Amino acid sequence: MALPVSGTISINDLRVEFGDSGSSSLSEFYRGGGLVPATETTTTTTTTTTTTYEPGPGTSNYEYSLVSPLYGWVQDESSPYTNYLYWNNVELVQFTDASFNNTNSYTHTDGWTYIRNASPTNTGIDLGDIIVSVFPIRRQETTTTTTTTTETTNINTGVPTSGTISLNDFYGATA
Amino acid sequence: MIDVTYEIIALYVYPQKNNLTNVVGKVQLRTVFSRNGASSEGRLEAILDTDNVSAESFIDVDNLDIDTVAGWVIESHGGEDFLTNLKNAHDQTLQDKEREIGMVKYP
Repeated sequence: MALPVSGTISINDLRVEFGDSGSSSLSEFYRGGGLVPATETTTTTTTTTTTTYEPGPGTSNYEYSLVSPLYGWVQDESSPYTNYLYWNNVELVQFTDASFNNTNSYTHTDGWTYIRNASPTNTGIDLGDIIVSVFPIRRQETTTTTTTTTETTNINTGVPTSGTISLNDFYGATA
Repeated sequence: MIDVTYEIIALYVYPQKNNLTNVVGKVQLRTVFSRNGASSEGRLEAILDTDNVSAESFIDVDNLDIDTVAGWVIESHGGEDFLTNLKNAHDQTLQDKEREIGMVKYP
């Protein structure tokens, strides 16, 4: 807690504020001399969140391609309604569903969330062992960045660094 | 307002890590977004940061509740902003399903 900005200050107040022990004299309390700090360091942490959309911009554009590179949300039209998600020729995941067109987003361990369009572009595609529908697909990623800023400011500027010193110089001074 | 509920599909654990037993490392969740009687589903997967798990913060896998697990998953993907974006992604589906409420097939 800072010393008062007016009224009476005793040398004992200085000892308590600045942590001095034993007998004290004012000459021990020069600014920057070891007991009275000349600067104060403050650290500010800022968190910034960014959302990236692909193919973007925003949420209204989707990818769809049945030729290489494959893009699309493919789903078996019959039980067990297996979903196959393709992005840039990579099959990201397979999972079964409770019903057709039931799951509308899939968040991958890589941080991207894949979202299917409400309506399929193709239906009844016969792949031999299954018949599938293909939905256009897009993806989005939320990235959080934490930035730490350190700032040093001068404090106790009323306290001299040498020469004549008096108790009144310590108004508002802080450890 | 969109309500969100979670259901665990699968938990994957390290049987032993940092002298702890059954440390959860990967989670698969089924997520249901609901509004006005309509719902839309999503699926969430996350690999959790287990490097800094300590005995003090550790929760036995049998004592985990769904909100704690879902919180870990959401946080690993960006926290509340991630969840807001996910809700927005399901908003159109919910709007469509809300419009379908009360319809019956004719004849």
